Amino acid sequence: MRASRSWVVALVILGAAATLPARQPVAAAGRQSPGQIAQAPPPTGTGLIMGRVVEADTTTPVAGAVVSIGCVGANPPMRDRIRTDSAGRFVFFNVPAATHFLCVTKSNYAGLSKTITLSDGQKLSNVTIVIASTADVVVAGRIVDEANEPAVGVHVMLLTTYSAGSGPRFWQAGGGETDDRGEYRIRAARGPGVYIVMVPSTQAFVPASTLEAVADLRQAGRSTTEFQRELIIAGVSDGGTTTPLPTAGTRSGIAFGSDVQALSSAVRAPKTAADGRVFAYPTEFYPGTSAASQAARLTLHPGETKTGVDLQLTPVPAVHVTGVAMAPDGPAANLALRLVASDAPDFSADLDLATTVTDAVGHFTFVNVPSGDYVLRALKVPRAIAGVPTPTTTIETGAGAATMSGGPPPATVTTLPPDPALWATLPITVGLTDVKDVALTLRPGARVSGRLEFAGSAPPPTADALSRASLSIVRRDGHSIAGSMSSSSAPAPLARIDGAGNLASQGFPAGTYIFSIYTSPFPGWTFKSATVDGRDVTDAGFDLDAVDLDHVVLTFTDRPTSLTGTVRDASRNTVADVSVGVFPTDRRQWTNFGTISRHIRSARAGVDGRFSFPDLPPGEYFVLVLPSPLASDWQSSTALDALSRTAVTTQLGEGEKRTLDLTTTSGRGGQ
Amino acid sequence: MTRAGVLFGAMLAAVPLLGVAEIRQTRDIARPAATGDARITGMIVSDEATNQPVRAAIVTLNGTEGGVGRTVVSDDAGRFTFDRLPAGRFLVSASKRAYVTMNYGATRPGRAGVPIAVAAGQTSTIKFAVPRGAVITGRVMDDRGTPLAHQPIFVLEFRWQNGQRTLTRVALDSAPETDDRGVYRAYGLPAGEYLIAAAPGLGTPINTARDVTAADLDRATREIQGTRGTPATDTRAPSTAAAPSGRVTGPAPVFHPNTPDAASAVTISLNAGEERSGIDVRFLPVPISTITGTVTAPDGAVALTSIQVSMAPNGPAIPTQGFGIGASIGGYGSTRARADGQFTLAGVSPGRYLLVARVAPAPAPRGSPPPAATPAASGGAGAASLGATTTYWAVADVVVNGDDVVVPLDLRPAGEIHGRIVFDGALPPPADLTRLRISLTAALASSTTALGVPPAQAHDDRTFVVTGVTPAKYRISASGLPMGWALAAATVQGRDVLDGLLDVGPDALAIDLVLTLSDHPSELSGTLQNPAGRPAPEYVVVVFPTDRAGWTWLSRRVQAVRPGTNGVFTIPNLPPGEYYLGAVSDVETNEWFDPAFLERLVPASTTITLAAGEKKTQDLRVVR
Repeated sequence: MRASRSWVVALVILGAAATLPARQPVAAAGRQSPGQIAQAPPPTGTGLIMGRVVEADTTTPVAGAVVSIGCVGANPPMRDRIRTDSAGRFVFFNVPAATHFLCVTKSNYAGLSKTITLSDGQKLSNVTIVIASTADVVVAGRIVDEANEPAVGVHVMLLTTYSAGSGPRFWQAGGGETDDRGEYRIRAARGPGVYIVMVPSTQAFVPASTLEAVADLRQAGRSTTEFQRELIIAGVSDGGTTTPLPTAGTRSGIAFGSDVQALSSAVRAPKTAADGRVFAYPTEFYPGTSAASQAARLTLHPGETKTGVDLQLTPVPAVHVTGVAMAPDGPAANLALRLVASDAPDFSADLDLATTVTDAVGHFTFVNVPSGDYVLRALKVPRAIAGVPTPTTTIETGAGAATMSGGPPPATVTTLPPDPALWATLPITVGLTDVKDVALTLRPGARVSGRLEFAGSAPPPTADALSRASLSIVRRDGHSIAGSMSSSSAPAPLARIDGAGNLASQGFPAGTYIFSIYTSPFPGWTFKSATVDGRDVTDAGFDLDAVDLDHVVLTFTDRPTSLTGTVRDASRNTVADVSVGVFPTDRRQWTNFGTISRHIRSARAGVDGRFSFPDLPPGEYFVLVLPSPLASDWQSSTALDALSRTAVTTQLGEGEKRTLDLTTTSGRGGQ
Repeated sequence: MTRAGVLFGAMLAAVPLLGVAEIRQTRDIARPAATGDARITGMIVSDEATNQPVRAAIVTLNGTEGGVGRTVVSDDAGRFTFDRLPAGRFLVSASKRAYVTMNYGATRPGRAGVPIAVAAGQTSTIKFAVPRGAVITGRVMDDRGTPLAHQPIFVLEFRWQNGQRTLTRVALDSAPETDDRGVYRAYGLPAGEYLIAAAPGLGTPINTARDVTAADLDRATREIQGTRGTPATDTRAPSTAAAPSGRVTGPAPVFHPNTPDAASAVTISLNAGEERSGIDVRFLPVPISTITGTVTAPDGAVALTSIQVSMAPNGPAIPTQGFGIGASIGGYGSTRARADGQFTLAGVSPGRYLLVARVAPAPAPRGSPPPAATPAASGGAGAASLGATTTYWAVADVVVNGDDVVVPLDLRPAGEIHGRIVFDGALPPPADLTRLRISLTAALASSTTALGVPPAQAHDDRTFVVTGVTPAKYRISASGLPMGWALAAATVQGRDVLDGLLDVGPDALAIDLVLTLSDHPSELSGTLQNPAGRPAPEYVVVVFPTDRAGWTWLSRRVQAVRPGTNGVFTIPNLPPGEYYLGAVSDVETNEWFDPAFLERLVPASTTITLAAGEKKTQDLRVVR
């Protein structure tokens, strides 16, 4: 799946932003790795459990469901797994006296666990387990081109909102390709919620001189590293070293004068009219606009299949945008440049509409740029990380080969390179004539420095632990610093700590930032506050522009809070397979927290109904069992406002450990 | 596979024009002139009877001598133009999503094209068809008919590989996967014969579990009824230690319609552009076994902790891309042995497998040493190779048919092959050989296997050492050859092992391998003409030794080449010897290594002899 790959990677570059929704519960799909069998024989007893699995709405028996005592990844470990017969029946023999969790999985049904307490030798004959079917939320449609021919192999991306920084942000939540009929059918990966449908088209260009230089280096068996990193950021290379030209992941390239447009399998080739004018296919949004701000917000309900989400791709006139990029010490050679949408501020990262790299003397040419308003961006963050190769073993057989990798690469300690991080941002309006002589001036980013303090009696982290820790500094509005919606692995500036507890960073572009310390890198120590010259910037953040920010103090405490409890139903049975949410009663903390809020969290209740929130900042919180299925934008201010009405409130003092039990209104969690 | 319309043409040998052995000049590596005033222009059409123009097709052009590579897009009338070309010979191909990529002049998709020769100032106009791809669509279901969403589908075909027809994945622009309704759609397929398969993966929602049986339910009912009114003490006895009677079953790789066996899979024959629906795949629960075993090694040779044990199918199988950790996924799995050497691989479906244990020496640090603080030395790579300075290996061929299996894996040291390089020629031998790599690739048949052998780097003193060699038959190849030199021979005690195979037995590793590099490899070229005396680019010229012992897979002595539009063909670096020279109108890639194919070609072939270092020109004419 060549085309999809480069877009799947896009998830990774969202960096911290991507980890936030990952913390949200995933709609239980009832999927398991096959072949998981208990490794050690479980203890046996004299009890017996017999019962049936039935469907929630119809109470018809569910055949082929797998019932296990114990659940995957839970303690105690799973023992025998039984597949139900056509009457939905199952039986376990030789069960010891204990409280057991019966876990049920079945494709297209939500997974479920049920607590059964068995006394010595007890034989239960009528255990009924009720499971509910699930259905994907799906978007489907047909994409045609300007001649009404099916647009085949076109990548279609679903974006949905999560809450970050200044408000809801759109990020990728599903994608797929059109087939030979131009039809697509995509699962909305975040379930019900608000979605945008986008057909991305990043016009990627590379100077022919760069291709020749890379080809020469490869022919001579020399490293192409100096080019590769920027080519990857510009999306014209995936870093592969076997192809003759750095267009791996791209089908080929079309030459336009001394520049080449990379033709990725997901981007349609531009058209040249008889008079020589070039037409390019812009990024399109449903219901038929190339402006992100005009994209329709589709509200998808649980189990809904939204069909007829059709689009027509129409090429528009395209012109050249040329100029030169200057660094403080001269022309900026081999630098990735991105023309990004100026009207997509609520995306989690820049939306690249065209990319290129500068040539050896800093000149750049975007060959086929559709008209519109853009921002020209560059960010060059020096990187010095040595990879450690992992040994591989190859087994060959008559029918194929399997390559086995060794263990995970060991963690490395990185030090900040001395070279400054350089950046530039320039608004550009493109009309129907070429834009020439654009001057892009790079300037050094502002650095952050200071120290860490450990307030408490526990032994402070060792010099080794300090120097291995990493801290992230993110934009307060939640927008990615370096990444884009499409290109992979653009490095963001790093912040590092030395063995003496001193903090230093690479340079950041101008903006308002916040320390993003969701999980403390030091066991036993919890992040408490960040100050600059005594001013608290923990949640308020700080501005960076031309001047470095010194005298930052990050304080950690050894008295973490904890909020734990158990979810039960009205009849006091524990309830598993639900999510619990907490968020502050202070609404000012609902926005402008960077990419991940320390205050707004969800946790999955375990099979025993228990949930736990360690390390919450002290304060007053709403706590509740979250509805299922959970809307993707449950952390938006609107959603939090609604949720707050059914939540209980609790207070957490500094270092306080609080226990709080929650009750659901139905057996399956708050619906 | 039947091939309609294949013609075997008999040749007349024309008079050799040249037979001069000459020292070839080192080719200038600078790019040849990329521009000139020649043009190739044309039109892409669909292969339907109407010859509709195909718009927005990607048309690529490549010079046969390299240097020139261009891409254009066909316009709304299907037309394209490559202008400012230098004089030369060019290959043109066209592709479009949902269509099948075609090389200009090829007899069918996947076949080599015919180079187009253009002189300075000349315009060559061509027209060729790209066939609409065929489509296979259907549903994937579990054993109870429930559609399975997001399940990858394998489109497979038999190809010539390793001297036999081997089940191979068809490369598609878009890897098919079922949608939320369990429906998949594989498109853009060339006409041909296919198998459709699905394999359990991490996303396959079918669990390995024990089936509940009527006997179990009866027994349980009796036990429960027996409990009532009976003193509790008596109920301990009947709850016997007897295991449940059902088998542990789970998913296994499955071919359309529902068989785990490639031999009984239903083949789907597709015509060009045909759409075939209803090609459903139904997973079938099969008995699932666990493989356990112990890795042993000579006393103290290696630490057993963390030795990697891997399994893979031994025989025709669906080439899945993933593998399980501690369990089999579609027959592929991997685990690490404990300190006492014990290992477990669960979830194994019936079949024949290879189990391999291997401990490789720790890789030498590359380039400059890592910073002192880097923990690389204590973790990751180091763990698997504690104390090992040589490679240790063990292989077991295991047949699993529903019962649990215990497999011993006794490690033994792998061998080394020492070799040297001899230069034969007038050019001064190169001083720097660090880019030269000597590779041993195991020649695989269905019953033989081998571990991968890492390529050996040549030293500047013209020696090399291949390490980690385990018993097998190997094919020898070299890459990174110095400019102007070709690998002319590989011998062991004077016996050729370059076109044959190097047979390494369990203990016979005292091998002195000599590689000869030549700066004047022999070469055969000529012009192929049709009966009318015009160039015959529509044929494939096949050269193969008169000695049938040389009809081996990937032998340098068996070659097939497509002449250009002017009928000229060249076979460089052909070893000296006596050959048959024939021509056919169509042949599947690598099928020319099939002895049956060559045998049919013998009666229509002519015989030539090539001397060492000879550059022979042999013109040929098709007579019927």
